[in-house]
Amino acid sequence: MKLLSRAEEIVLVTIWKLQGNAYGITIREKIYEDTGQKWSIGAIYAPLHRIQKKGLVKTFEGNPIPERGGRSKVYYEVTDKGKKALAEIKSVNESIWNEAPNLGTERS
Amino acid sequence: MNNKPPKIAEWILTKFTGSFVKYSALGDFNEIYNELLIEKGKLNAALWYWLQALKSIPSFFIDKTFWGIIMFSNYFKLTIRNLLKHKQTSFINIFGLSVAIGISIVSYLFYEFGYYRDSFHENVDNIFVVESVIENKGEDRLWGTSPLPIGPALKDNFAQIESYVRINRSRAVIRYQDNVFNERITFTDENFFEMFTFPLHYGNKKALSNNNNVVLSFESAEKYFGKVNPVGKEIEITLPGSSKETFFVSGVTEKLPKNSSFIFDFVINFNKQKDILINDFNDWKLTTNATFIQLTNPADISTVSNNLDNFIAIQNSANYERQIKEFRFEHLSTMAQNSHKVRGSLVYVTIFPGQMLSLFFTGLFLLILACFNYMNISIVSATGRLKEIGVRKVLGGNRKNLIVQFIGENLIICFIALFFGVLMSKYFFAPGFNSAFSVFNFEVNPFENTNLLIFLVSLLLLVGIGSGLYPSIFISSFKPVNILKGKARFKSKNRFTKSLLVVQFIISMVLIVDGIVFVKNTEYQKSRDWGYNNEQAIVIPLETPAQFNAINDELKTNLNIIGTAGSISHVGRSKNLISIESNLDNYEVVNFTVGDNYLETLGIKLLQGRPFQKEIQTDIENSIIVNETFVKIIGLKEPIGKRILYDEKPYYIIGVVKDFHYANFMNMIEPVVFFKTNEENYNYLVVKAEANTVNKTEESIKATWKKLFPDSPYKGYFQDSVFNGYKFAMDGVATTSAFAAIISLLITCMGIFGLVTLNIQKRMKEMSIRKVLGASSGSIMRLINKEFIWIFIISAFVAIPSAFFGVNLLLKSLWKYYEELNYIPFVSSIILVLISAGITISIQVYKAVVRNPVENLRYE
Repeated sequence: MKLLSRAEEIVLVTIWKLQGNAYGITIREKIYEDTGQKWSIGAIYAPLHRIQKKGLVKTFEGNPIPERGGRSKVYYEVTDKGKKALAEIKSVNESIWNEAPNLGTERS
Repeated sequence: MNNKPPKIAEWILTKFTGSFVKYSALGDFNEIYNELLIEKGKLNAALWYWLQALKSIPSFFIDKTFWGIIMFSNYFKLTIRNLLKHKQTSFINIFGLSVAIGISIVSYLFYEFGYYRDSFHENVDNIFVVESVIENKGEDRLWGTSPLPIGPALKDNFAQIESYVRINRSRAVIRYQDNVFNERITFTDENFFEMFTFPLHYGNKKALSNNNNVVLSFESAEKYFGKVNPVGKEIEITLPGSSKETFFVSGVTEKLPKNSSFIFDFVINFNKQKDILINDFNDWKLTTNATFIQLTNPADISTVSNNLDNFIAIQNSANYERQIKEFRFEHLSTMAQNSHKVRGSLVYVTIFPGQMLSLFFTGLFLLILACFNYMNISIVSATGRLKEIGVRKVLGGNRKNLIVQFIGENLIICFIALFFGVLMSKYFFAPGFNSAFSVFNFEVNPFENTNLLIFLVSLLLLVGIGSGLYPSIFISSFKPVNILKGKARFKSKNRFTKSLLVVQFIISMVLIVDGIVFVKNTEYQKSRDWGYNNEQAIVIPLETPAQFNAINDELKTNLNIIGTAGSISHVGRSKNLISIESNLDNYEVVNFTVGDNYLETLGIKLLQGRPFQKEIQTDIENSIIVNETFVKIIGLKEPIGKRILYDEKPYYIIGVVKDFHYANFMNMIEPVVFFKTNEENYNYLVVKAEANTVNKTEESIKATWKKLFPDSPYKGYFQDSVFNGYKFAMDGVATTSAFAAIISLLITCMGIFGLVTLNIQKRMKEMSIRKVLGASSGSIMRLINKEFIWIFIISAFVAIPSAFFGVNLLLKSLWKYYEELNYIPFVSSIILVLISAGITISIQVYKAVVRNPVENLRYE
């Protein structure tokens, strides 16, 4: 399988971490918590749309709520294919870092 | 609590957010807005929301453009491929359209020249020209000339008037070193260059401040001084009625703009006329060629024109013959446009509505022809593209997409045609038009002429969408299932196609009738009798009356000269209008003041009475000779001996001459009065030479002149060349109409050619089967031709009456004397169109018929 882009990877991992509570706002906040970067909404939706097209995530709708102007939340969920991809990313990441000398920045 | 985000921002977001995330992203924006509302207050939240909205705009456009370009490049590729695939029909479409566009560009430039002159003056909005309304036999006539004192009088009496400029024109002999020419001179007020925007190449706006200064036009300066700066140089000018004087060149203008309605060569201060041409500047009996006034606020013009009663009274009591009914003020921007209504206008090229309309219709008709070709061909050739349309529809292209695609395709074709059209008009039509009519100097520079560019863009949209709309709607209407199953079929008997063809035939026939009529009319005009003998007459304008006797004595020895005469005003050269009184009614008549033998020398035929005679002294004081029209209009039963009043003095008619054309055939013959004068006043010498010796005689007169007056330019000419300019313009009209007719026939035939070719391709099998079953080639050709014959007959029935009506109207509006319409142009037009169309069709059909039917019927 082709590797995902960094943005796609981050979004996909975040959705997995949020486990059923992943929609635009929560994804954005979680990314902020994890990386310290504030992504714009557009920056989230572009990779989101791509991984959805690749079939790594699927959507389901919640109930319409007034805070969203009467719209429902669109939740994202990682599919089985997505899980395989996540596993692959993880192993690739680990194998990349494997054998890399200590950077000396981590506290032991 | 109001938890709704700002409405406008929300609207922007709904419009500009990408469609696939719109629903959830909009929800997110809303939710964050609500959170911010609670945390940081309404203002912050609203600001943040607005920021999101604004940020969404650029990406939206980038997105659109990106996909738009991809889509367009696909359409473009398809269009070009289609064009290259059907070379023949593409050529017909593009060539026809280019020619039509090229000609439309020329007619547009003509229109622009007729209607939008003088716009380059900075003060154009505030300048008006004074015109006088003079009643003549119950008809109001508008004059461009004005009473001499009106300018200063208006300025003194109306605070709204900022300044005035008077213009008076004359001719003078100009000499610089060895160059001696007779030139147009313009007397005008000092502030001429302040009111009008004619930038000076050398010198400044005060160049006219001295009476002996002269400002030259760029062309004149080049003629006398070459490229050198002539400011400060001395030239000698002999003004009429004055002796040689030294003038100083004080300025040179830039080249006059092409759209200037009046032109000048030598400009001299108005006051210089004092004691030479004008004795009293306050004399209301005198007129000047034009008076311009400049207002601070153009809206004040009504105040001025409503309070002129006392000036009208002053002028009318001073100038008995020229009773002014009212003054009118024509805006400078419309002066050229309305100059055809004005007598004695300053405008040097007047465009008549008839000319404007005929050019407009020529352009329009050719465009229609070319567009109809496109429409017909694209409808008929649609069958070839049915598969493409079907596939597009199946793949989700809706009808709107298809219409946009086909119109877009047509716009590309039109753009290509526009490109070639501009080239054709730039290098072919416009120069051709300029050389057919010497007065025009059109240039096609769309990037310098914004109006032309706007015209071209509108033309592109109009032609592109106008001709593409019906075909695209028609083509996109097929059902995809039917197309792909092969059920959809193009109906060969399409009413729409046929009616377009009818219109094309009509237009071609009308334009051909028009072309033939104009060519024939030109011949007629050239051969029409001018009513006097203009072939043997040589005319020499004199500098001073004294020259007459000097040269006349010398010429007496020349055996080729039958007779000589002198005159103050000369037939064909000047048209002096005066007002006379007969039986208490005033009449405006044309006046010539001539010497002994003038009528005999020019061969003007005397019908009744006697000519002027040297022996009868009273002839100078109280005798006149009139023409037939004079007798008819004034209603005299026995004209000889009748009395008329001119300048409150009585004159008696001693003779009546046959009507003759003192002006060209666009002008009606008006009443003419000849007064007599003697040698002290002659301005012209007229010589009648033996037939067939005119050229030789003219040479010897020229030699004599040079010997006698080495300081004066020789300006002699043949009387039959007087209206050369007119004859030249006539040729121009004939050439352009004939050209338009040929082009229209060509475009129509190309259209028929394309149509028939496509039709035959579709009916190839039918024809082959007919042939196999025993039909002769002739009968098949008849079969195809039959369809067109009906179209042709219907067209002829409409075309003939409309051509008759239209052409007659045009002739009437352009000429006062012309050949009445007869059947020849109409019959010729029908035959010409029939033959050309017949040949076009038959060649195509013949090519198809002689082919071996097996080739068309065999599968694989």
